[in-house]
Amino acid sequence: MLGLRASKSAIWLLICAVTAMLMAVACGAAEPEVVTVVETVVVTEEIVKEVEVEKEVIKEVEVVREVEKEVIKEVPIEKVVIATPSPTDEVFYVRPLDPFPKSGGTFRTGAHGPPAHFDWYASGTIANHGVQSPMYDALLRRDPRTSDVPVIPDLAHRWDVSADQLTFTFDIREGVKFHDGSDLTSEDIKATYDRIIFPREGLVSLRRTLFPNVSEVNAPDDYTIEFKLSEARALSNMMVAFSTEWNLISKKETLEQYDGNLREVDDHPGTGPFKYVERNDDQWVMEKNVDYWSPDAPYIDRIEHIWLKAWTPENTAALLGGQTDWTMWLAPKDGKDIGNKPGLNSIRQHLLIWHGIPLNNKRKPFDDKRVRQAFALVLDQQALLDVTADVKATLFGGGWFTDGTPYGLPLSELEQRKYFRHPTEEDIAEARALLAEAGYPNGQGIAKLDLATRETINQRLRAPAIQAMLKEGLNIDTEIRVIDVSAHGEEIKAGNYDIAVEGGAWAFIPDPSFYIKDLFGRCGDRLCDGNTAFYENPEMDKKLRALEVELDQAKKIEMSKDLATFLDQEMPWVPLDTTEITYWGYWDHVKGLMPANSDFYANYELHKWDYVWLDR
Amino acid sequence: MRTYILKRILYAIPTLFGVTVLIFAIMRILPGDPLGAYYGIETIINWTPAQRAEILRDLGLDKPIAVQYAIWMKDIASGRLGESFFRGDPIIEILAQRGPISAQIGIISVAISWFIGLPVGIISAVRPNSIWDMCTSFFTVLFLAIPGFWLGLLIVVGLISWLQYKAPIVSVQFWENPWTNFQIIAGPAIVLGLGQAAFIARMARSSLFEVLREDYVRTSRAKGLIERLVIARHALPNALLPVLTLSGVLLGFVMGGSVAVEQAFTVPGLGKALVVAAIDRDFNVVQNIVLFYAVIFVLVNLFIDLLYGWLDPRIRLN
Repeated sequence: MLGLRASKSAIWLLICAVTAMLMAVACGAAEPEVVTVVETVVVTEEIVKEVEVEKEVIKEVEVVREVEKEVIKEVPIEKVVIATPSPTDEVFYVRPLDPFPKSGGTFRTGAHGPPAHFDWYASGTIANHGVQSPMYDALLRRDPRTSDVPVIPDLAHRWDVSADQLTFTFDIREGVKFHDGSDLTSEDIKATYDRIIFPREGLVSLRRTLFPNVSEVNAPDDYTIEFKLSEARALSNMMVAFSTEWNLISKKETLEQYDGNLREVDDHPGTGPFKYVERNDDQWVMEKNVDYWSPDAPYIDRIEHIWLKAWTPENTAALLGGQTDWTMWLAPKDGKDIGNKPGLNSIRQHLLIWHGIPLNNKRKPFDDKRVRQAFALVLDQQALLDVTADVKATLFGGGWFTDGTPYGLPLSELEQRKYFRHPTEEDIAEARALLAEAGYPNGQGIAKLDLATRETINQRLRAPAIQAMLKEGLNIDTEIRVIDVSAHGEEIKAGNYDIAVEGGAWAFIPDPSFYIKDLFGRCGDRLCDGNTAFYENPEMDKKLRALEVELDQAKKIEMSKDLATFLDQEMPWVPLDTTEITYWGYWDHVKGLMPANSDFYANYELHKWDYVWLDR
Repeated sequence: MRTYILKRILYAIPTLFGVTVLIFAIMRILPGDPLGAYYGIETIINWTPAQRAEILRDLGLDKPIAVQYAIWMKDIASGRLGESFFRGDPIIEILAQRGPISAQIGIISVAISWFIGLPVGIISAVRPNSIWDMCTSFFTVLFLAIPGFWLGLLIVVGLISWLQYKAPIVSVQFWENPWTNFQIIAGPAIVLGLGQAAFIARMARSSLFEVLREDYVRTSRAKGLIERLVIARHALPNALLPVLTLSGVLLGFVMGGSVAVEQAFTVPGLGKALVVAAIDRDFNVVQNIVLFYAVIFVLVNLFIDLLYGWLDPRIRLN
């Protein structure tokens, strides 16, 4: 009897325990109570003062508290400083602007990766540059400590430009060593630039187009490198090309050993502030290069680049949960808000990439510019960008030319301008008249158009919006065709489409003669690579050529205005946006970056981390 | 018994062969290639045909499909399983790094499922239509209905929002740092375990419920045995047989489900590796992880069958 009671008690206990456990779990999944609290966030503000100390200028930072943080407003306020082409002091080094930087610690970054190979000369993905650049140096670089990101020395500490601007000579720092202990000489830089500018048959060089006018690269002595140009170009353009941090310097011996094909290399020595330790399926680890040529740098002992795909919730979660100290490629809806969270900051990087809606010019009805103009009049660019605002942070601005550069049109002007403003009734009436004039009254005679879209969330969202605008504005039917990401490029390049939801070109050099030529011009005897709408017009080529060889900046700006008017008339594509925002997010203890809440304009640069320190 | 085992192993061979053919074909039929992730989409559209051909040749993707398949089979035979397109490292290293974490999650989730599911099932069977039966039925249906990845996301968001806590996202093995390892595996193991527990509870309830009404159970009671012994000695061993079979099947679901749950928790396990490799079109990694899952599935079911045979003499004798 006693045993039976005991067994009953045991069963009751078990029942209670299991029920309690299940209820606890069920309660855990319940919707939490939401309370809205209005609070003022106290943050720090950096005030920069300049104090002269012997030969160099350091910036003293005074921290002032009790400042209300303002809501992030996505209006670009910075201008790109495209070059600082002056001789500089031999002892110029990139040092943190903070007065007392600390050394030590492990810096964990959320990295879009892993990189597939070491052949960054052929690569356009941040998976390469973001991870590998701390192990290497470039000839020149952009200053990461200020949002102006001016051109500053890296391996070249001084440079001269001949009076005719046909010879660029760089003096290389002495005493720079590769991670294997060997000395860096100008022969290594020559070998690198030969790989970039004159790749052998079969090798890809993505940034070869930055140097179309370089005829030879010479190394007259161990610490001098000389570039001979066949034709002078604007000084600012050349300096931007030389300061592109993708052009990382490899060892001559390595390039020779692999015949320039670094896809096959497991690791090869650089001269950068960090040395390779290991990589695996989770992360890439590197450690401080104690023999780095820049005194005191780097300040961090170790970097762990942890693989987190761009725009994913995992990337945001890892930052918020303290698993990473810094990340970029935050999903826009997270990125906009991240700087308002306690202990976290954000910086907005404007990638210089031009986007538009390609209209296949070699197919009817787009062989008639009146039809192209009609399409541009009814497509509401601002609305199309708003549709994808949560998944792709692009800003309406700049018009035909890159926002944040002297060529881009200010927003106030753009909003008044035909083809860019919200379509007015007059615009729609004009569009219909143009269509009728071209022989397609009320859209009659135009068969259902193929609207090709890439299998990415932003394009899939935008495609129905384009479809609706064309139907409503011009009574034109389209059929959306979704193409896989990696097959999309080939399909568009082959001309198998009528309208593509989005196309674009990198403004590696933020001068219209570079990217507008790539999009709408001819390169030698063929269309340029980015000209996927097959637009051909000798007058366009003539204007672009004139802009390309003009050396005077003021004249170039005037010429670009004329070019913009010409583009309005021709409308080879429908322009959308000219920069794409990437949100950086980082914790308070990450120091040395440009001031929080900055906007800067650059393409995947500033990942060397020799200027960053940790204040845990 | 030896013949029985041999037969089961022989049956597994065509199954695994079918899996290799199927996954190899699927990866080739799907549009796109790994070059977009390899070099960047904006880059590859500017390649000349010669440049594209050279890179495809480097990756071995220019060879006929049958040759590519034969190379993979050779790689499997060598034990290296081929190399990732991305890092060029043997895939066996990825399995060695991530496999133990996924295995821990699988094993612990099965343990949790038995620890919770079995008592719940027994209580429901012993006290049918009672308040306890109704409560446990409610919760089992609830956990059957809730998708694991969704519950995982809620847990991750809740921990970050309330505690600013996120479990480590870089793989650490148990023998390297047990506490960090526990933090990595706890979340997905619990979520997967609760999902399985619901299945186990349902199966245990119906099975035990049926067995408790068998003649031999009635005879045991008539002999004067106390109820605890009737259930533990006579009813439960027979009732557990289908539960055991279900566990084998569930382990397959755990492996499949762990892909989404690992992704939700950002666990550095095989599931996450599979997702990333699929996005990047890293054919070799996808093929080998799927094959690895298939092998595990076959082996677990073989083990369950053997266990079944050991527990039930009728199967052995037949």
